[in-house]
Amino acid sequence: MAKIDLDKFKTAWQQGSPTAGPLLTDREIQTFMHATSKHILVRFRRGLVFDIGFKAVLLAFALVLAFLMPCTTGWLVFCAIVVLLLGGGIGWQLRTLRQIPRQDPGARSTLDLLRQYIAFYYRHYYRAMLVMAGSSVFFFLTGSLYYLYFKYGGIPPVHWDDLLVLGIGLVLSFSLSAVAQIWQGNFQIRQLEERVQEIGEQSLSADSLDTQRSKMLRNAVLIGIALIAGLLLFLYLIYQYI
Amino acid sequence: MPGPSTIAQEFIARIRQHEGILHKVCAVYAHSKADREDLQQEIILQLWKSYPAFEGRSAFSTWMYRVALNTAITFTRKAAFFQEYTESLAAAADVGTTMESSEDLQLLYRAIAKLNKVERALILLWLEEKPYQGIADTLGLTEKNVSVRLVRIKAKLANIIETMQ
Repeated sequence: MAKIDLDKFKTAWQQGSPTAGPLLTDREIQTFMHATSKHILVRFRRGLVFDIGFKAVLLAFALVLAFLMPCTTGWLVFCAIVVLLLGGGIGWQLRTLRQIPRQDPGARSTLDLLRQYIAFYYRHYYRAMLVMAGSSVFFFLTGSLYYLYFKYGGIPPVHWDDLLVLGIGLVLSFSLSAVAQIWQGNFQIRQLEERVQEIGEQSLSADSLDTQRSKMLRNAVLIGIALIAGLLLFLYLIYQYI
Repeated sequence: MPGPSTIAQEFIARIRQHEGILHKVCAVYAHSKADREDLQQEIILQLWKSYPAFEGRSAFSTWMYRVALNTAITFTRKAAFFQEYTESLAAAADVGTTMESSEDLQLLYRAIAKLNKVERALILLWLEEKPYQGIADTLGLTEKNVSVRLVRIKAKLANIIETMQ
């Protein structure tokens, strides 16, 4: 045991100030009061709102394209699927937006806040990231279709190698966006989990975190399988009817 | 009923009155100048947003500590390449050197920087002589747990200071 008199340091603490610089001015405090928060939940909300707007724009572009292209049954089915997916995505994101927990650092304990944020992350964050990554797919797809429209006035006959390029483009646009966002999310949630472990909380022990992680992984795999199946169906539709 | 500008003026006056809390929490949790500014801004923003819910059941300083510590502990960094390296360099260069204070205080801040975030909160509230029940309420621990952990953390802090001297 160290023979250090901590009371001496306690007195220094109570008498001293940690800052040598000027104190905050009224104007600085006022600016900070209305600044943009860098809190994870606020960043998440901002990203979600931006993506809802982005999907709405893509939806408008897709609807315009639906009327521009020569009308066939296959094309109409394809457009209906795109509109449904984009509309469904927007609806789901609006619901998620309402479920973002309210920040209340004055009324809750640190442990309560950490539990609330971690629970939100595991319940909604990863799914939201996958839905957000879906926007890149529709961006790539709409962009490609506009390119074909302006170059050929419609969709020219497609061969298997065209579909392969399109498929790779779609998979890449989805996975690059999803991986980047999930990597960022993991980095942030790890910091929150470390805080919970520092508090030494038993109810959110390593076991329970492992359970949550494996549940999240299972969900991600299921969503991934559903997306790949959807992509194959989509390519089949293009090949068969357009 | 006071208007919004009156409430804002009252809030600013209270923050200025307890500005020391803000500087202490930021000095304990952020080691580079940029991090300190970010945290200072976030704490003031959270204080302002939570201010309408402050009912005066506890002292303003107690409430301010709670908001400031909760914000500092749950404030996460964004992932970036090379961030940890640049941060550790900044921390090594910055902690304690910008203080216009006694050697003891500078040493104390450098030692506190070696504790984890929750330990820092506990020791900070102990240094401020907050009652154990208040510390327990702020962090979500039991009073007994606070007492046991403070014994350990004080021993750890004393060891760190001894090594640094």
